[in-house]
Formats: sequence, structure tokens, C-alpha cells
Amino acid sequence: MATLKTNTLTGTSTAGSIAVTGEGNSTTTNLQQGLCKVWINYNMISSTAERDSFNVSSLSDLGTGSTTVNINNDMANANYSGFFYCNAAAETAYNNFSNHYAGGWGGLTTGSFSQQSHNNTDVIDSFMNITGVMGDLA
Amino acid sequence: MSTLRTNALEGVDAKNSITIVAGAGNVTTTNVQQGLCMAWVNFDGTAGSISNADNFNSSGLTDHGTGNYTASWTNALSSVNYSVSGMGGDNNVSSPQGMFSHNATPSTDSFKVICTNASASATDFKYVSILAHGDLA
Repeated sequence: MATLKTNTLTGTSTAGSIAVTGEGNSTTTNLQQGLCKVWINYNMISSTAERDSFNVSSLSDLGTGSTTVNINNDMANANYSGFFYCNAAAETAYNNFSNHYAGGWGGLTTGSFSQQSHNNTDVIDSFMNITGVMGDLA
Repeated sequence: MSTLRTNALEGVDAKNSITIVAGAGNVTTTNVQQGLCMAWVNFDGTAGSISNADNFNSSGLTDHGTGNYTASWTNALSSVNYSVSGMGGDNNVSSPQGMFSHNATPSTDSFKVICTNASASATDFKYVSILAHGDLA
């Protein structure tokens, strides 16, 4: 067991690139590329508000079921990837959740992304919204 | 302030396992390798010829028809039991958009999804994201 203590990790050849040996003990992956750059758990009901987050500056309520997540430290481009889950219900249950159409992306920009929550046929404010972004920081 | 400069990280006891203190209480540790996203991709599903807009560890995409895509991984996962997440959608906030579900048995080097709209019909979306978390081969 060895413990390395440091506050910051930086690549030697390229500051933003550090290789990490993967689980198979041979193939390497990239530390920076694998890190989640933005994540948030938020509530759309009544007053749109975050419960917890990382690298989020604020939320903008676009109306029923639609929210823009504003990023604190911007992404390098608008081509990032990510995930989004919502429970399509105004309470903790997911009684309105209907299989595979629970929400989707709106516009992606370097400084924000929009999301929409809906049940079978209607846009709806969701109690539980969990999302995150993978990609390149600016 | 201390900064470690290195191009590569390996565990000492096991090359494939590095722990990092990450808990809010500054005590609990998590595992660096297990926490990393092993592959991610963003692409425009409405394009006539789909291709990665940006990606990590993706070797390409296959278009199987409306809303049906396979993302292939450059470095494969060690088993088919990895976790996949993501989302599809367009830039229309006034009508319901869709997300995806599995559309085939997962493979260690690829994953097939189907994007659907509010009527459960396969649909091409402008923004399609697919992420894979699991063990590298």
C-alpha cells in the first residue's frame, strides 16, 4: 500500500491528459476524458431548485417541464455527451413514468444545456431530475 | 498547494486500482478506475450520414435506420455487463422529446440503442448521447 498526497494532478507532456491503467491491467484509459464534468440533482416542482450539484452556476426555469442548466466552468464545445433521468411525476413516485419517453435534451451550448421532462403525452414538472455531462472542459 | 505532474497513473499493489479520498468528510475513498466513464459519444442522429461529433473511446457509429444506432468502442469492455446511460433529444422545448432504450444484447465492443418519441415511434434526434461505465478489458 502506497499513498501519494497531492492537491492537483497535471499531465507532464500535456497538462490536460493523464493515462490510467484499466481494470484489465493492460489497456489504458484517460483520466480527464473519463471524469464527469457537470452533474446535478434538481427539482422542477414549484420553484426550480438544485439539491446538489457540481460545476453548475444556476438553473433557469423555461416553463412547465423545461429547464436550462447553466454551467460554471464552460465546456470546450457543444458536442459533449451526457445522461438525463426524470421521474415524470410531481411527487416522489413515478406513477406517470412511461417506459422509454421520459425526457430529452434541448439545445446544447458550451455554457448551458436544456432538458425537458414529460410523461406519456404531456410536458410535466418532475420531482426528480438527475443529469450529468461528459466531454472536454474549455 | 502541491501539484503532481505525470503522464500516467498505475496502482502499486494492483495496476488497475487506485483509491482516492472523495467523501465529503474527507475520509471515505472511492476507486479512480471504477469511477471513470470508459466511453462516451455525441452525434447528430438527423444527419444523412451519422458520425461522432465528439467522443472518447468510440471507433464509430452504425445507422440501422430511423432512430436505430450502434456505437462501437475502440478499447472493449471486459464483459457485457457494463452500465450504459444517455439521452436523445432535439431543440424543440414545446413538444415532448425522447430518450433511448437498449435495442439488442450488449456486446463488449459496441452497444445498440433505439431513440423514440412520445408516441413510442423510432425517431432521429439532433442530440444523441451514449455513455458506458464498466471494466475495461
